[in-house]
Amino acid sequence: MTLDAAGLLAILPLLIIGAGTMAVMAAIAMKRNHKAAAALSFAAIIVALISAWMPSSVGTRAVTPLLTVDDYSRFFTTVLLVLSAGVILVSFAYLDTTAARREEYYLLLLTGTIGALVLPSASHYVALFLGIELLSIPLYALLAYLPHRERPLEAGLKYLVLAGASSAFLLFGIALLYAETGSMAFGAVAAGQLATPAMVLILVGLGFKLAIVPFHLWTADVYQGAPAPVGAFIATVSKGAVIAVTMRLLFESGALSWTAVRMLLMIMALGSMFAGNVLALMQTNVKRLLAYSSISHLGYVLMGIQIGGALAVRAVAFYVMAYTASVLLAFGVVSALSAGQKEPEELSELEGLFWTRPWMGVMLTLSMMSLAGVPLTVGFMGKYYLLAAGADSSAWLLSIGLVVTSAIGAYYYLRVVVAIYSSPPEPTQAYQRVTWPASFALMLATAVVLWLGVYPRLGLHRLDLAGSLRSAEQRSTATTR
Amino acid sequence: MLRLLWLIPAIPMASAVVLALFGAGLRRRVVSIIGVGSVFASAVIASAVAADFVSSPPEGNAYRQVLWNWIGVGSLRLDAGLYLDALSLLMTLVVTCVGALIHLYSTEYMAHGEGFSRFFAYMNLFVASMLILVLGDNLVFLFLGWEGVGLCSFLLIGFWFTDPANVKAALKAFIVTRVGDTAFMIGLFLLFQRLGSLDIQQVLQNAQAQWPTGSAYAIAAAALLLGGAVGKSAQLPLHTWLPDAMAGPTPTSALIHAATMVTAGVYLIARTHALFVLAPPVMTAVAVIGALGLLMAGFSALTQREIKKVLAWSTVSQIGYMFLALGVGAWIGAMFHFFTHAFFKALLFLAAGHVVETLHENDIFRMGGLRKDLPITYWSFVIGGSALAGLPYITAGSYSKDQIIWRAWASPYGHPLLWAAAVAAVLLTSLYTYRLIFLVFFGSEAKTPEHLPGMAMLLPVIVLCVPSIAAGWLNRPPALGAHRLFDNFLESALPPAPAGAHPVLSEGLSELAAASAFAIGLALAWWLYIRRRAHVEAFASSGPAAALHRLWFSGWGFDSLYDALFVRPVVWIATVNKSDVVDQVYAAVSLGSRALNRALAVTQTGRVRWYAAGIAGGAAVLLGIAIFL
Repeated sequence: MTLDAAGLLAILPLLIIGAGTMAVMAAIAMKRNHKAAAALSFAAIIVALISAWMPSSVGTRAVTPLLTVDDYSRFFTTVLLVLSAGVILVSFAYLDTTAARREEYYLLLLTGTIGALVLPSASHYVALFLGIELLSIPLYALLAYLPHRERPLEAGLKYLVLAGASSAFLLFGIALLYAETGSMAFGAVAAGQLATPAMVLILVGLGFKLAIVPFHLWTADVYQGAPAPVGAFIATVSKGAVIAVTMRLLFESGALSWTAVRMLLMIMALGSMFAGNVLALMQTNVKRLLAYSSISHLGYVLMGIQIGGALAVRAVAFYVMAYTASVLLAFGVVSALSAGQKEPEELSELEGLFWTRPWMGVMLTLSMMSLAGVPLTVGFMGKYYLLAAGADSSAWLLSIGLVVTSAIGAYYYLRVVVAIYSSPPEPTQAYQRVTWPASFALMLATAVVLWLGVYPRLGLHRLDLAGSLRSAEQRSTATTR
Repeated sequence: MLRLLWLIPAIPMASAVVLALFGAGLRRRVVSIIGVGSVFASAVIASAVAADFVSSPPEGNAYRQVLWNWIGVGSLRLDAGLYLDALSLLMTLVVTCVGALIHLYSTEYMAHGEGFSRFFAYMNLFVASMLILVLGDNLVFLFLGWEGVGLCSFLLIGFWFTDPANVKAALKAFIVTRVGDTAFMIGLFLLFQRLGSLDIQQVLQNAQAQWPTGSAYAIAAAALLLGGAVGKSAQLPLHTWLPDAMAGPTPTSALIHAATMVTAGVYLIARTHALFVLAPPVMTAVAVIGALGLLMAGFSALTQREIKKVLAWSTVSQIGYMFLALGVGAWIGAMFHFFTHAFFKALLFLAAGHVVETLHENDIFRMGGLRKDLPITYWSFVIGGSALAGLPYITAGSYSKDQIIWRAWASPYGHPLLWAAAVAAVLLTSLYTYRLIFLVFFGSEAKTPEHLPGMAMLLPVIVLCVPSIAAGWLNRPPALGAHRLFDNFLESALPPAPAGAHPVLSEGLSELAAASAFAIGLALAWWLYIRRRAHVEAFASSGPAAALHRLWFSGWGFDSLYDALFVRPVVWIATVNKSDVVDQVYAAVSLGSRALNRALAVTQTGRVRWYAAGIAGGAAVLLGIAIFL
């Protein structure tokens, strides 16, 4: 399949971010300017966002065998771009006060975004691997972006080693599949003996990125060590992109109907729900707490994927939005309050936040409420849709798991809220002044959390998310015939 | 004009919100203007709407205004919709007009002391809730107003919350009415489950179509609605909250008793009358509850010492008349008594407020001779009291009451015993009303007023004197030319009272009986409390009479009965189970979670080699499961 003009138009967001990366690099080469670099990156993302919804980009289009652009990929592209934009806004003030060399950060961030954008439209194992590596490699550097600090360096190294190991599993799985089918397309049907082990190995690789039990051990250390905005990037963009590709892979390869895979997915989902929430229970470090909470939330997402079906696909799509908006808000508040070398990440450092910084306190409260799934926040609606999908297809074990672990989870989220509203210590914490780009991003995330929580009719039903996946499945069966 | 209907509840609601949010920062004058002005504006719009409604009646004699879709789940679709017919129009007019006068009165009555804006916020919310209650076109919207009224009564009765007794009274009102509300809610569930709708008109239509007269569902539904009505309207056996509700400021009592809250139950039954007609046993129950209530409350009123308590018991008794009328199918008669009662009871409470406010005294036995000190109060008390007692042909109360008494005999649902109770209650009413007047305004002066009520407190009272007399003339009995304006107006919404065979008695004779009862009561009061006051006190404190006096004074011992039956067992269980047994389960869950947390935390070593081994081990386990499954 050759690349024609229409195909190029369809992958315009990718191209624009790529061009934006070049432009930022060129700008840095000419003159170092933090504001310019940030603005340029932000502009690239906005332009990409617009291009994703140009009238020409309607329907399903295969662009080279590697990528498929359809409603599904457009939806995730939009979400990921908005999240990247949010991370950039949050990063700006943070970098201003912490890093010496700030401009390259945006290069890495944009490159990672390209990788993230490849994933939702990937319909080929090569695209999958390219996207994952393109997303991961900048992350190693981003994690260690503040090299004079101990923890970021440690986090970067840990992530490098472990992600490398997991990629090996992924590659091995892909190789096995190729040996079985002779094709690298998701849709290539494999029914032989090697298919199941191959798919399990691929799941190991993806499960590591998603931090699903039993591949979750790295999460807390990396989240804690990561500079807060980078933590936000891992928790939102990286997670969202890998979820998108995992779901497409499982649907299009038909692996979702294999008993063994379904069984494993259920075990992993339940394990993640419980392990994540239980690990977070006594945690006093907000970043570690968010890491553990991410394990449990990814467990919920996996539950949606395991259930399968149109309702579940929409529920997962909504949940990704819900979770990423809430967690971006949490990390955003922490980054916005970070002063110089210190991030207010311990609960004791957040005590009385509401009384010294009412808006930040309210926003962090909202994000915790949403993560806990309190009604009138988007987190509740997300859980509700998942539960509805679960009940719809009688996935009782998973549904009960969701309810029970949500109840456990409420404990530690509410502990953060308690800290926020307790009386401030003497002398009061010195927080960074919040700049307008960060507060804009935070307000946007707050608006999403509240608006979608109160009025969740987003028009997701108009996007044919499940249809994209199903049609690909049908397409694959058609080609093999 | 009809399109302005939504403004009638919206204005007081908006004003309540404004006062609740910003009232504390506003000057009292501004608060008064907002608080009183909103209800007056509502009253003006209501009058305009009424004029429009009467001059050019809408199609089907009802006007429906759908504001927005409120709830839409499955087959349940509820609108925030208003329904205006003659019945709701009448209620709206009374609520807004009387409410406006009470608000005006409050500006002076509440002028001293804390919480001025808070008071008006509550009062406005009260009026708005009541308007939603009467105008709501579906039972859930009605229930929203119903609960709003309950909430506001709680807030207003406990307005002076620094005194624990007031808070107790507020809680009592809330909890006791809650019992009725629960029945009401179950009734709503039943109606929706069986009839598939909650729209009032639709429900009534479906009920008539699906349920034969006397069917079990109709009886159950009507009985459950009656439960709600009994709670809100303070009828037997859920009447105990009303006398205690006097803890609130006097204008609150006027609002609760005259225009809002207690008439909600009457309205509910009248509104769903088609359902009650399908359940004859419930109709009988309504009539009997009314008859018993009016006698029992009459006796209790006879022994009270506090001026407002006498009036409180008289309310229970008068609502009893309304229930009696509803029970015998005299829907319009009940609404007519509601109409006149709203005026004279508001008048009495506001006039009583003069006495309480200027004397700082509640006990009628420590009052006397106020006739000369407070002439306007005295005359308004005489007018209001005579209307309450039913001074024949002159006051409004007699017209409405006579009609009910006659229907208690003449209706096919009626019974001579009901009629006898109603007539006996006239005697009682007359007796306790004039006892109150004679004790407070006649005799030797015990205490002199510290000041005289001002204009804002006098004007509403004077204004209310007019309808307390004249409102009755809208419906003249046959002896006076059978001119039934009020009946004709309401007949578009409520069916006329059914006529039955009624030998022996004619309407004129029934009126004569009521008039004689009134006269006997008046004479008895005069003789006992002006001529032989010493005798009555001596008699009341002797032997069995004293016991009876105590029984009546305590409201027939219902409070101690409920205390023994419900309150103490619950408190006992609560004290026994102070460290809740059920809590142990949750404690176990919490302990288990912590233990699990400690166990899992061990895996978080921070070592890369361990993490990598975790990935490899996890992969091996997953592969094993996948292959060997």
